[in-house]
Amino acid sequence: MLGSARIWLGSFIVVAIAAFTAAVPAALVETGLRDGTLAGLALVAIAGTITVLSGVATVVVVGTVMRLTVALRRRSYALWQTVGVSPARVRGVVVTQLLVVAVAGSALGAAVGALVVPAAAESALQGANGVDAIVIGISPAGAAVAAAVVVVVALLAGDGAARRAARTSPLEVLRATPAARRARTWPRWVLAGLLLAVVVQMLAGLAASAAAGSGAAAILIGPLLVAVVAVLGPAVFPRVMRQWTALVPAGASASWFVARANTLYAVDRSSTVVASLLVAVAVPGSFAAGQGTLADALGIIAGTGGPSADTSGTTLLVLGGPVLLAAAGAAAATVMSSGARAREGALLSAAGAPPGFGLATALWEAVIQVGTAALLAAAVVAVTAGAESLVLATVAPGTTPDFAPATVATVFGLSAVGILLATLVPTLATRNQVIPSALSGE
Amino acid sequence: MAREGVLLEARDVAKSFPAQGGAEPTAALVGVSLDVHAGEFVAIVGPSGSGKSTLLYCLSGLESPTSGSVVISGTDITALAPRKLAELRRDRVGFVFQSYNLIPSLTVRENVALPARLSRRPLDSAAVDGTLDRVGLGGFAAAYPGTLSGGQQQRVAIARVLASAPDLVFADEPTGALDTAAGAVVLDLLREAATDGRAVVMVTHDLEAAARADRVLVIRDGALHRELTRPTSREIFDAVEQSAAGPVA
Repeated sequence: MLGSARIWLGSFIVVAIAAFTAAVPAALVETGLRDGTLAGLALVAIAGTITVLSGVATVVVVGTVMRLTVALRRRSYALWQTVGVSPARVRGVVVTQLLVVAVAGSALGAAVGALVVPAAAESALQGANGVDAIVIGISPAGAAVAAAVVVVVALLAGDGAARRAARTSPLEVLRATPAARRARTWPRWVLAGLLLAVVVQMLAGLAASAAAGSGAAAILIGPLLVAVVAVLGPAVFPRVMRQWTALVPAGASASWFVARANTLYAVDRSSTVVASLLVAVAVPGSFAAGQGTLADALGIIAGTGGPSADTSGTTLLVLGGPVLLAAAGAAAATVMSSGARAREGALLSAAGAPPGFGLATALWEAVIQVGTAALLAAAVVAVTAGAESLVLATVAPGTTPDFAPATVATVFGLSAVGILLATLVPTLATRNQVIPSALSGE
Repeated sequence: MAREGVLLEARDVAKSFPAQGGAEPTAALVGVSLDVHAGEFVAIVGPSGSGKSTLLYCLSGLESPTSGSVVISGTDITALAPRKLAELRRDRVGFVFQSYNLIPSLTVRENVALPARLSRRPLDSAAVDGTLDRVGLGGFAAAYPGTLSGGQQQRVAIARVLASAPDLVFADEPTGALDTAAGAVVLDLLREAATDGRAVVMVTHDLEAAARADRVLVIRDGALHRELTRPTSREIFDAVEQSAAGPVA
């Protein structure tokens, strides 16, 4: 019961934060269009950037958390089937459950967003040339649109997971047979290919755009690359996890050995955390890398050595929502999965694992997830900065890539601490659980 | 100090669970005393709710008794710190549960080798494979538990116990989820485990399974009611019936 509450609460919070995040571009677009001046159009342009970043974060984080929600409840759905509930009805009930959570969470998030976002956005835009005088607001209809978009994303992701859950043999689930990768993969490859094509096109036009003194596409190339990697996550994440964790000898630590096996086996839950962490680190990281590399090129073109305008408030407005959503998604996925981890800890204790072994295993799992996300994020940032500097060097010779180490290190550090806390707290809470009761609580 | 040949000594073991709403605690075990000797296969039977599983968990250190003592191979486990208790469980005690309780993310071979890995003993692959052959699962070393039948999973659980050769094996309804043929194989393996100075304590509601034991303890209302030596299933049935009807002897 507690486990179910934890799962539903986790998905509710993530959906609520997604709707809150979506309220930011909704408010800017609504205000900008209502204003109608050049400054208003500038607001709409800022909103466009935020929409791309928030869109990537929402699709990746809400999508993976919804799929995890269904995956963690597969056992319940299997039990329904054993008492005669048809697969179609299981799918219907699952989708209805997700709809309730998505609507309730989105309504709350959008309502809070409508109250908080205008003042927060005005504060963030203080000092931003031309737009800092605009009074920002959002109507109930604007907030409702933001909430509706999040509900649609949640349902699209959840319905696929519900369909697979309904199609899975109940015996397979009850016997904990390793999950077969039955999801269709070609749509992912097609989507990744399309996104990559957009990235290539943006790179191709970057040099000419920068020569004309703009080059705004530079800041979106990295986040779109993040989307490419996230879309291919089910194929990419397990391989990366397997490869780098193999560098640690299996005999080095029993808890590491078990954690690695758990992470690779429970790929649904580990991929959810990795995807969210990847967004949390790589979206701001690659955004800053693009911004820094472009600034260097523009400085060379203008002969000033690079612009140094303070854009920290705007950057916070642009990146705050996606980073908050991704960090919350990673923490929520970790806490949602802690029920399964408590049972695994009891199994290990019954096999003679010493006290603290379950905690060590859980922490190693977090390290593997954080490490995998960090490697992928570093690769995205490096590719972004490297590719952009090569392209920009054609019009601004000597452009150097900015790998935005400070931004990457800061968001990585904060995210890593958040994940370790999200792992530590629920694991410590079940530490004194008596083994028989932990094992009987299936 | 352990008495010669006695692997397990339980004295006046009592266990009660807190009740809801400030009511009196519920007594699950009341002053249970018993010995288990090396080479013995002991079965504990009784009606549902009689306390037999609670007794097994208290005897094995999975739960702490409210009072009384449990001595395994000369060590009073009720006085042990959690880490020492875990060490004892790892090195001297093995468990076989009704629901197998294998680690789903580890392969069959890795599950069997787990106790050695936990105690940082060198992994002897040949010994692990030999144990798997012994339980008839030599060809399943690389499989995950979820891909095996219930009987096969239970044999993996027994292989894990056999590989670490503990003094005492505790089995909680080991055949409860198995068909007759698979259950018979499991009981044969448990019977084999009760040799070479080792012993098996099994809780079961299956009287045919209990009749495979050297000694059968009948428990009712948390207290030992009867003790039978090499009984038939009919004798066990009668003893359980009497325990359900009459006063404690």
